Amino acid sequence: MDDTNKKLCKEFESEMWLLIDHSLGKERKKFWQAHLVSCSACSSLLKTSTETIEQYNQVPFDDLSDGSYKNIISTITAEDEQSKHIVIPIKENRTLFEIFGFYKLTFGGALVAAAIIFLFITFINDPKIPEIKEVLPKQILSWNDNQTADRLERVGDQIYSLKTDEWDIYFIRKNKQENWNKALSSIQKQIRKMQKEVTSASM
Amino acid sequence: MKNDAVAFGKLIQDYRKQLFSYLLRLCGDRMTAEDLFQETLIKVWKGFKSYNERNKFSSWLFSIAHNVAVDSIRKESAKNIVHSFEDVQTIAGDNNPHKAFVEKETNELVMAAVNTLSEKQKQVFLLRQHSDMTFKEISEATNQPLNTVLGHMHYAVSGIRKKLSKEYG
Repeated sequence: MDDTNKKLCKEFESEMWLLIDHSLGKERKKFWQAHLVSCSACSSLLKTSTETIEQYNQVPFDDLSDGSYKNIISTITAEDEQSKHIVIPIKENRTLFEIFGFYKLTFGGALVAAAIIFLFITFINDPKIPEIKEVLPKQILSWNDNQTADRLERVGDQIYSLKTDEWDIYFIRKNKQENWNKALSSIQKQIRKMQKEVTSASM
Repeated sequence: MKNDAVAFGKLIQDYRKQLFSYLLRLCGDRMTAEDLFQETLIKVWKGFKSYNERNKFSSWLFSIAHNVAVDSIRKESAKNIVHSFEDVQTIAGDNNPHKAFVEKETNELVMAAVNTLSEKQKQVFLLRQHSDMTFKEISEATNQPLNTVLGHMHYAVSGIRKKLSKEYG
């Protein structure tokens, strides 16, 4: 047997099982079938291996008793059924997390926080909030000492006088307009008078 | 739920003997084999959700059994527990007493030869003989390259053959 054949026979030792398994491709199967025709060592190996396997297959299977088998099956399936019906006892003093669960409680908390922020923003920035009155009634002012009350009254008066000044300015402006109109009409009268004098002199 | 249990029992019934024999011949002790059988079925029952129907059920079943058995053997060898393999059944079912005796003796010789194999050789050989797994499936189940699996099979079979030919002279 030459080296190439030896190598092939060594390869056959492993691939023989794939040949028996029918897991070899068509080409490879043909190749080994051709080799088996020409190589007595490999065909002998295949024969004796198949016989040994058959001899092993003659040994009857072992078995467990029917009772043991039924016990095993019922134990497995019953165990699973029990685990599906586990009842969790309810504690008397349960925490909020235990009652509502972590996610529900977190979500609820977030909702409440959002509502508080919304209300806060709405009332603080409300433009309808009434302005502070400029003139405060004396009854309110009398709660504090007289000095403070006087100062506040003076401020009140100043605000009032400021308002009065505005009225004065208004009247002055109005008067100025009237005076201006009067001045204009007297100028116009003077011009007409001078025109008459010029015309009478020329005649 | 009860129907599931009945269907499960029927399904396993088809593989009951092959599976139990595989486990018994691998570990060598009847009590341990029954425990391993139960452990395998628990894993199969609980793992039905992960079972891919495109794969052969027998391959999946024996892959689980293999892992369960290998784990157990590893634990037992760590504790130095050695089984005698006396529990492995070798009695022939023939009514002729002489034929039955010869067959029993032959079976005993075959099983004795199997028990001389290395752990890896025995695993591959028994998986191949008891399940319908191909060598490719065995290589996946045992996490070994295909060529290594084929090598184990070759040495297992030639080992048994040599042992038997020695006995027969």
